[in-house]
Amino acid sequence: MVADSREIKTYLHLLPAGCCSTKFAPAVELTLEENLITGCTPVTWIDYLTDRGAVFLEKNNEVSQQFYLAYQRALCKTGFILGVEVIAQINLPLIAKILRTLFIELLRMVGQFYWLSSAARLLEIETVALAARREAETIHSAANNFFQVDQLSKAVQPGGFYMLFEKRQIIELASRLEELKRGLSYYKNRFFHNYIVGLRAHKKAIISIETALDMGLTGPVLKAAGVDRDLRRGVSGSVYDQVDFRIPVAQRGDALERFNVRFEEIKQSLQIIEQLLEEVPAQSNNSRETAVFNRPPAARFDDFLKGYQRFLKFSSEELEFPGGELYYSLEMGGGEYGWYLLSNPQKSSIDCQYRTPGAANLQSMRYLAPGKRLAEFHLLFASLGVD
Amino acid sequence: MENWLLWSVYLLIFPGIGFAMVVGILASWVDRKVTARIQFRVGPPLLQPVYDLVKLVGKEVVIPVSAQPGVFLLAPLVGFVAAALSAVILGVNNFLGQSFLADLIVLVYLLLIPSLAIIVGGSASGNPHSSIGASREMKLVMAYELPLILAIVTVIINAGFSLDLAVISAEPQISSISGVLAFIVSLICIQAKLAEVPFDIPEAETELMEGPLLEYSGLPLAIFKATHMLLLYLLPLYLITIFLGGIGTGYGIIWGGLKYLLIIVLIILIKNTNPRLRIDQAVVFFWTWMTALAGLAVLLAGVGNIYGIGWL
Repeated sequence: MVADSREIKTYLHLLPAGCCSTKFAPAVELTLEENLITGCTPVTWIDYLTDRGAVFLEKNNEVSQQFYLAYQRALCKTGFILGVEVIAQINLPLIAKILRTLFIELLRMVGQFYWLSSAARLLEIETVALAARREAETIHSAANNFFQVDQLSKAVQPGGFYMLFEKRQIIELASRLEELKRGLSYYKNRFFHNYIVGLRAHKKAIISIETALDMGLTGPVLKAAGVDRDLRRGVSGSVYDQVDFRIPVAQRGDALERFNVRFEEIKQSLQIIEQLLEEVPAQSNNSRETAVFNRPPAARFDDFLKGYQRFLKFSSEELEFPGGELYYSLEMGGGEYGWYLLSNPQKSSIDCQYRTPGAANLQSMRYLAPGKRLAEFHLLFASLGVD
Repeated sequence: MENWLLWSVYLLIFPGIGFAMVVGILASWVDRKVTARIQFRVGPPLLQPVYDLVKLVGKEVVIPVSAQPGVFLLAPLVGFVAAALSAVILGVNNFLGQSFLADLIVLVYLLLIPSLAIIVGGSASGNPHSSIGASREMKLVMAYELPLILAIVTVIINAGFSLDLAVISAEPQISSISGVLAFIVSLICIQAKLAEVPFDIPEAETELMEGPLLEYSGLPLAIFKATHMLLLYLLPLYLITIFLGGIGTGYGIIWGGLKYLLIIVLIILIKNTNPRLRIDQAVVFFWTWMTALAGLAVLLAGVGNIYGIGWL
């Protein structure tokens, strides 16, 4: 888990060529369409995709904006708090691990539907784009209800979950997910098995294993290329090793495989959550069993954006942190999310820098885009994801 | 003089620009409303397309420095006039039962002009995105015109080699196999002519941000939007006229209205359930599958005509 700091800093570097091998030099002769693409840096790409509604910072929809920002906040806090628990050497009880795993899977599902919405918008299936966004918000609301919080990020505290879980909550979440399971055929027919999506994505925008590894791409892109790598297998504070799930791995590495891997991951997440929900009632008779401490430790959690990079800070007088640094990673919908934590025992605080797989995907565009048409480039982007 | 006045009324009020615009605006509203319902949204009020046009007319017209101002401003007008003239020809035929010699050929030419106006306007705007859009529109026109013309040839053969709309619309052309095939081909070609998904390749909002229309603003953009509304009225009416026996008279108008609604809803459903094709895929699709289907229709119509087999 703890890696060499030089390696970490290279990995976290967001600017072009940060984690790419030098053999991917840009093409010399560029057409007009290619120039439109390769003239962009990752930062301008974010603007480009935001303008096209592919990044969910919709200016005209405050509710959706609030949901998306709450999801982002929960996402960045989850890995950070898990990293803090590793540094502070807090060992969770089993039920807390089950709930933490459930929480991560719900977040993964929200992320997958945000991705689907973004991909459908890039391919101009507005109906699916809107339905998927609503689905993400529905799962988000269901998770809020289950964990009895108004902001999903509030559910993640060092030491576990400080709440009593009633049977009603479990039944509600299970029935919501059952509805979602029945509704998956809608997305299958309209997107994943749509004839035109197949026509556009089959054997298109291929990323080989070598290219994916060289560029630091992770998650569905890597799995679609044929690499059986999923970070969930070794996540501390979780029970992934005790649930039955399959990691989808494909061979061709084309855009269609990347779509299908994502769809399979949604189905696997549902399967994992079903198994976990069966475990919760037996283990949660007493709320004290769900957390290490009697109450959440008094702590302060800050996050702020500097440019397009998110910085996090956690400080608590009640917890003891040894000095040092840690790279903590979680496999979410889009791939590997990384948290580089730097502990400061004198100030009882931990600083953190946060990396999303979308950043790696963005910077790989300047190498993947040359030689591709504008339309194919959009397919490439839809299949890589902007998480 | 009286005749001249009468044709002015036909052109400007009924069944020309005025009537066509009203139906076009309604069709545009139906399009947006049905789309919204498919997407589980409420959708806009009835007059929203009018508000949009009025708002655009009130906005400043910005002409890019790199544009060719004359062509840039004239293109939307040319497209609109061609669509308006088509509305008169189709309207006069459907509602007043009048036609002139070989009006079908004139109509085919006129319905091509709005697409050409988009190509010319986009090319004149001096924006790389618009240029790509104009180039895609050009390829798309070349792709769908071939099967569309073959479908018309089928209808001409089935109507006893007549080029008059009055003769063609006298009876439904889909009473034969070749007519049904030609109708299917035409319906899909019309989806492309309207630049609706999956053939919205020239405008491709996520790729080209409206493509040829990107640099347009104010009145010229309003004219382009109005032309599109006119086409939403014209192209389904064109299909009804040459394949479904026209709108009809008296109570037949209700049946004609239902035919129109059916075609519009079909177009909207196709638009809302499919992603966009790539331009090369669209060209291959039209030049292989659609052309083959239309060619088969021509063949069947020819055989049927030679051997006097009506159902072919």
